[in-house]
This record gives sequence, structure tokens and C-alpha cells, in this order.
Amino acid sequence: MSDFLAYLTSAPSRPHGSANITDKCYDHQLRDLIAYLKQPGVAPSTADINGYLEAISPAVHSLSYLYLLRIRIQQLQEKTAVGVPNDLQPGGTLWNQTVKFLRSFDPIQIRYVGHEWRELVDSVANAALSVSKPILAVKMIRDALERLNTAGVFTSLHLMLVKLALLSSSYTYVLPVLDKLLCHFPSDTQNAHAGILLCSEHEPSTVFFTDSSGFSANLTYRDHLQFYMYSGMVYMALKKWDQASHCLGIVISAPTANSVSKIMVEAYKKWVLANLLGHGKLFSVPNLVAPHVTRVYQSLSKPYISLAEAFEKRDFQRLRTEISLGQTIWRADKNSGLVYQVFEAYDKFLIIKLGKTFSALTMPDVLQRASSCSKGSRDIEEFVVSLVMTKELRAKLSHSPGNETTTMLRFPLSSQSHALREEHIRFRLIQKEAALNTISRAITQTKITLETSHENLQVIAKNQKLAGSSERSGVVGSTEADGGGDLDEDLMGDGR
Amino acid sequence: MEPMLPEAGEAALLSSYAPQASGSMGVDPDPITGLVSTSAAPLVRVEEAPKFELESYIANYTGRTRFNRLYLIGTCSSYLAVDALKAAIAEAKSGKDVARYLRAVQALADVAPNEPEATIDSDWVERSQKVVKAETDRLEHELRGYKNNLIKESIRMGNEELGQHYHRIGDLTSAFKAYSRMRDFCTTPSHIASMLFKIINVAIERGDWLNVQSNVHRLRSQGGKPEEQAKHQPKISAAMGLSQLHSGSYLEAANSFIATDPSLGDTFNEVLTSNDVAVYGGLCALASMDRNELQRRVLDNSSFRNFLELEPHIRRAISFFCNSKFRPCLEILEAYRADYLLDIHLQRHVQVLYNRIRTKSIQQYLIPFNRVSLESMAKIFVLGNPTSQSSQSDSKSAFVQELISLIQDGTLDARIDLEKHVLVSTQGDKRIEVQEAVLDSLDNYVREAHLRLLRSNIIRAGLEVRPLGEDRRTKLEERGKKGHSAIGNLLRATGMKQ
Repeated sequence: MSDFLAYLTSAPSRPHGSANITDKCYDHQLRDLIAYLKQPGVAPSTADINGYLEAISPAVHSLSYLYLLRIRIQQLQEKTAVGVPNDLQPGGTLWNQTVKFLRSFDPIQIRYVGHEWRELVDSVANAALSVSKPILAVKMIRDALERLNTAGVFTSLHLMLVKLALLSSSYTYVLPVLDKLLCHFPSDTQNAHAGILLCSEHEPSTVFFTDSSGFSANLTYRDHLQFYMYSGMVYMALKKWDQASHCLGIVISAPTANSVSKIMVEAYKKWVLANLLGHGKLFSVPNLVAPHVTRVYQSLSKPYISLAEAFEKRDFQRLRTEISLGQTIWRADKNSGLVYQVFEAYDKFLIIKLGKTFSALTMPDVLQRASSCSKGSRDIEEFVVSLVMTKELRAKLSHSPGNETTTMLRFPLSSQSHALREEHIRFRLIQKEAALNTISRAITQTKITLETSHENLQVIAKNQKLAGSSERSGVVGSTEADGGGDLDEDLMGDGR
Repeated sequence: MEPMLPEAGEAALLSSYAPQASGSMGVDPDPITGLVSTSAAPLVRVEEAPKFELESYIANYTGRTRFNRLYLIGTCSSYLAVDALKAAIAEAKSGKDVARYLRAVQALADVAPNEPEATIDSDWVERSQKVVKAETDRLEHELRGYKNNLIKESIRMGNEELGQHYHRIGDLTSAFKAYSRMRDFCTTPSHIASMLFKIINVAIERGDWLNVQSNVHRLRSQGGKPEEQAKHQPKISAAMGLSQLHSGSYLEAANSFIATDPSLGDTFNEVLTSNDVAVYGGLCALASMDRNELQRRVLDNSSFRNFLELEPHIRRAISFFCNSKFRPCLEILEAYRADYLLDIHLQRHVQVLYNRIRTKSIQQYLIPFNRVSLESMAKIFVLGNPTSQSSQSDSKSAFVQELISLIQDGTLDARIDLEKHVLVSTQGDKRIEVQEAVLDSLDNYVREAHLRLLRSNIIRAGLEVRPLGEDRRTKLEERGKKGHSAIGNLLRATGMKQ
């Protein structure tokens, strides 16, 4: 018993006791531990496991803890013959232990057991789903993913997380994960870095997420398309149109080989709507999209395009007829909610546009200018007030001193104080800097893996030169090379 | 231009009534967009009396343009219709062009059916037709004879005579062809020059402005003696300006007209007079140049001054504009609108030119102001009815509507304050603009880079969108790559198929 415990605690995490061991030794320790744990017959009895789980800390001995948890779950599943045993359901002891583990595990140790770790996360998700409370899993999986820090590598867990978030409508919870730019996919060629030890702390962590690491199930094109589609939907639910448009833009510009996925077409429809709601216009598709794909989009989403055209031309009558004509289409595509928001967005953009022409005007004027507005005279004021309050419209409302009945809408040039605005800009700049850094790191990383960095190209060029010269010298001796032959002929021509 | 609007409406209403002129008149075959009306029919009905006197006006011109101008005035001006058309009929009868005689009579019959001239003189028509036919046959026959004799000079002259004849009888296409055939038989530079001028004249009458331009270029590059060139220069510039005016490039037209030498005098009367050069050049310059340029290149230009002296009101308008007295400038132009609408070349450009001048005046007027009351602007830019000026600053007045449309199409960089009734110029904070631009471009860069990076990584990971059948296969291939044995692969593949 104590023997077993000694094994379990043989490899503590780096910050807790293993700080001074070299990478190589630590690697050995961990691999030994895994080998030991995988031996058949090592598994202790049920009662013991609970004791061990109490005894060791998930933060220090993450590997052992994970194994014990898995054995426990397996045993329960075998005993009850149910996918999700009661104990694992939210509120059960096993659930609590899993939560504790996922909140505090050591990401370095987990690198050795990606597969098992993913299975645990899967079972958490299943448990939460089985009691119809996906929201419980969302927060946990998000924390676990954050803790693991996949550094821009896409895994099947990301997809699962967004799915759960959509199911539970807990959109803001997943934002920390979605806001990170994912740039890589687990891939085979990482084996080129075979010399790297999994426990190394200094390597870019993309190295640790490969196909064989088990952190992700096998991916198909549907997975990343779905992920970005769902991300776009999350952002749309939060009315973050810019990000939504970006996510959907990724889906519609996905590389294709001779065929177009239905997910892409659905994304195109939503993309059109998101741009209408966010920017009031119909953008042309990103130039990465192949022409034949664009044609597919356009032929399959005609109602959406004509809706957007009516919107752009500020043709309210047409817009209304388009919307009512397409009722069944919107419903079938599950886009009714978005389409209904188009009305409001239409009014919003009309009123915002007034700010470019006028610096002040009365409410009746607003109503007259935005005469195609769907609002009545009384509603328009309320609508403007709500726009101002939500900061969509930078304007002020005031009653003129003599006349209490007419309200004045005033568009000042800058509504914020100087210092406040500078602070705001500074904040945004810092945000962008972070994004830029992420991207540039990812670019360097990709360059290395694709071997298209400057040095690589130089080497290739040099090799070609070398190969070319050696070929020529080698060939001339045996048979007449093209270059050599030409040269001879020229000489003879000159001689004549 | 609200004073113009009722007229324009009328023009639209009356255009169905107005008799139509055929394409052989000096009308551009392809109408320029943005005009009041774009059909080949008379474009405008002018109700007001023009300032000029018909006899003295038409006396300035010679050749076929006399008829064309008279006919245009007759069909467009309700005030001068009868007089002009009578004169046009007399003009047509003095020539040999039967078609235009018939057209003029028809037009007169529409306006004043009771006039004695409004009935067709079938005697004259028959006689003329016979004469024309005989003449055509004779000339064709002669030309054939010359061709058989292979004497270059005779062939050239034969063609020239034929061209002149066709031109006289109004068959412009044949005239153009006959003149063009002269080219191979020209022996001296002066022959070539005269041939090109004839072609230009016909092309102007046809409204074939591309040909005018290309032949003008030929004339320019043709060389010849300096004194010859100096003699040709004014006509060349005027013709060039005319074609540029018609193609809507007003700045170039202004430059061409301004460069016209005053020695033009009355040498080009079969097309235009010096007065016309002054008007066309002045208006084009007003519409396309800024104040400094106008002062430097138009008012201080000693050679163009000779032209401007012929039309002092244009000179006055330009100097008013240069001195920022916009109201008198616009008033002068407005006063002469009727005249210009009855000009054969200017008619379809008056509206555009006036609009541009007006827009430019408003822009110039606003430059020194931070905010201007709408009322004081209305005092300058609303011509005509001074009584209703108190309401001009109302949001529904035509003037404010005009300003709104100017702001919306981006011509004016200002905003209207309907509470205090002022026009506020927008002075953007450069710092904010730069910051916004930086953030925007950062944003765009990050997005674009992310999109492309993802794309290359997707392709590298083999996750492109594929047809469903293919999808399985590639997965197998991938598995194969991962070190499975070929046999296992094969087994699995066959298993899939079953």
C-alpha cells in the first residue's frame, strides 16, 4: 500500500519538488511512472482508490491522480453498466474530484497522457449533458483548456466547448478561449522535433500537440469549419459583429478541393447578415475564396443577397417585402432571429448617417429624413434614446429652453473627453499589440514547420546552385549537355 | 439649381410636342449623361426672350451652321420660333439641301401652321432634287474619268468637288467619305491641311467628336511651314476645344479655348465665332478652374483678353468670381442662360456647367468660415425671389435640400445645424483620425494574416474540404503515412468498400 503510494508520488510536478532535476531525468521519471501505472494488476481496490485520491494532490501528482480517476470511472462503469455513473454526475464525489483535478492539474505532466486527459474531459461533458446541465461543463472545460494552454493549436475539445456553450447559451464563458487566435493544427511532421523532451519548459508548446499526443480526436475538415461557424454564432449572440464576421469569414474562405461544404454555405448566409447588422453593407467575399466557390454561395443564398442589396440601397419598401417573402427561408435556415434584427439595424444606420450631414436637428426632422423608418413619431424618440444609451450613436438629446415639446438631437464631433479617449485608444492599442505578437509568433512557427523561412530558402538556393554546377561538370564529360552543345555550335558558327 | 427646375419639368413635358431633329444636325450622336434630357430631340424649351437679336446673331455665321443654328433656335425657343424658322426656310431654299428644307417647314407647320412658308414648295423641291441628282451624276462621272487617267491632282480635285457637293446637299456621310478619299492623292502639305480642315468641318457638323480630335492631332503633327502653322493654330485650337467641350472634359476644353489665338477673327465662321470662343472658354474655365488659375490664366491672359472683350459679361462674371462676389457672378450667368440654351454647342452643357460653377462658388464661399448662418448663405446663393428669404433657412427649403445633397455626395465638408440654422464646417481632429486609421489597419492586418495562416495550416494538415468519398480515402492515406503497414491499409480500404 505505502509502496504503491510511494510510486504514485515518485514524480512531483516541477514547482513542487522537481525543480532542480534535469529535463532528461524528469522525462525518465515520468515515463517510468506511466509504465508502472499501465501494468495490469496494479489497480488497487475501490476503497483504496478513494483513499489515494484523498491522499495525493492533483496539482503535484497530476499523472497519478488522473490514472486513479480513470480507473475509478472504469470500475464504476463496469459495475453499473451505465455510461455515466451516478457518482460522476454533478454533485457526486467523483465529479467533485474531477473538478478539483481539472482546476489544478499540472500541464507539463499532462503532456504525457493527452489521450487519457481528453477522455476525462469527454466524460465530464457527457456527465453534464446527461443531467441536461451543459453549463456546468462549459466553465470547467474552459478552465481546463486555459490551464493546458494549447498555444494556438486547434483540438477537438475546442469544438466540443463551443458546442456546449451554444447548447447552454453561456456565451460569455467561452470568450476567453474564442478570443485567442488559433493558428495551428495538430500535425504529424512535428516528429521532426523528435529530440525534444515532452517535459521541456522552453519549447514552443505547439510541439507538444501532435496527432499522437492524443489531445485531439482525429480531425476532419468538418471540425474546424464547425468550430468557426459556432464561434461566429456565439459572437453574433453577443452582438459582436466584427468578430462574428471574422469567424464566419474563416469558414467561407476555407480551402477547398473541388467541392463546397454545406457548412460553408450556411456560414456565408450568416456572414451576409452579420455584415449587414454590423456594418450596414454587403461586403464582397474575401479574395481567398475561389471563384467557383463564390458562384456556389451566390446561387445558393440569393434571398440573402437581395435582402442585403435592398438594405444597401436604403429601399425600405423592398427590404420589407424581401423580409416577408423570405419568411420560410429564414425559418428553414434558422436565421429568423438575425433577420428580424435587420429592421432595427436599418433604422440605426439611417440615424447614424444623419450625423454625417447634420450637427443638430429636431425629432420631427429625424422622422422626416428617416422617413422610411419603421417607427412612428413617438417611437422614434425612444429609439434614438436607446441608441444613445447603448453608445451606438454618439449624440446628445436636449430640449430647447423655450420649447419643451420638441427634442433636439445633437451630434457633437467628439463626445468623450480628451483624456478618456486617449486612455481608450491606449487600451485598444495594447490589445492589438498582443494580437499582433500572437500572429507574428504563429507566422514564425509556421515558417519553421513549412521550411519557408529565409534561411531555409537560402540553403535551398545554395544547394540548387551546387547541384547545377556539379551536374554540368559531370555531364559534359560523358555526353554533350545542352549548354555545352550550344556553346560549341556558337563557336563553330562564328568560325564560319 | 432650383430656378431651373420648373423649366426642366416643362422641357420634359414639352419634348413630346417638339418636333424632332434628325442626327444629321450638329448633335452629338452619343448623349452625355447628367443632362436635362438626352434624346436626340430638341433638349430644352426656352420660354424667355434671349438677349441677342436674331438677324445680327446669325449674320456672324456662314455656311451650313447658319441653318443648324436657326433651326435649333426655332425648335427650342418659343419666343423666336416663327422668326427663326422662317429664316431657316429661307436659308435652306438658298441652298440645295432638300431634306433640311422639309424639316424646317415641318417644324414651322407645327408652331405656326398659318404662315405662308409653312406649306411645302413642292415645285422647288422637285427642281432641286433633279438638279442635285444631275450634279451628283456629273461629278461621279467626272471622277471616274479622272481615275482612268490616273492623274493624281485631278482625282484629288474630283473628290474634293464631290465632297463639297455632298456637304452642300446634306449627305454628310458621303461627304466625309469623299474627303477621306482625297488623302492618297494629296501632294503638298497645304493640300493635306485643307483636306483635314474639310474633314473636321464635316465631322463637327456630324457631331463625330472622336474624328474631330483625331484629325486635329493629324493637323498638329503634320508639320509644314511655321507661318502656315500659325495660320492654322486658332482654328485647330477652337475645333479641339469644341470636341473636348462635347466630350465633357471641361478643363481641357477651357485650356484649348484659352490657347486659341485672337487672329481667329471671323475665319472659322462656318463653325464658330470669336464671341463663341470667349463664351465657351469662359464658362468652361469658370466651371473647372480655381480662383488663382482663373485670375492668372484667364483674366491676366493678354491673348484671351481679346476674346473676352467681345463678351464683357463673361469677363465680369469671371472677375466677380475671382473677387468672391458670387451673387453677381451667378446673376450674370443666370441672365444669359436663355442665350446659352439656344447655342448649338452649349445647349446640352449649360446645366452641367452652371451646376459646377454654383457648387464651386458654394465651396469657395465656405472656405474662410467655421460656421455660416444658412440665412446669409441663402442671401447669396438663392437667386430671384428675395421676399421669401426668411424661410430659406428652413429645413425644407430647396436651398437647404441642395446643401444636404452636396454634403451627402461628399462635395461639401460640412454639417448643418438645424437648431441654430448654421452650416458648420467639419474640422476633424487629425490625431483621432490617425489613431483610428492605425487601429483599423492593425485590425485588418491581424485578420488577414490569421485568415491566410489558418489557410496554409489547414492545407498542411490535409483538412481541405473534400467530396465525401474522397474524405475517407485521404484519411486512410494519412493513416498509411503514420506507419501502418500497406497490407493493413489495403484490408481496411477493401473493408470500407464492402
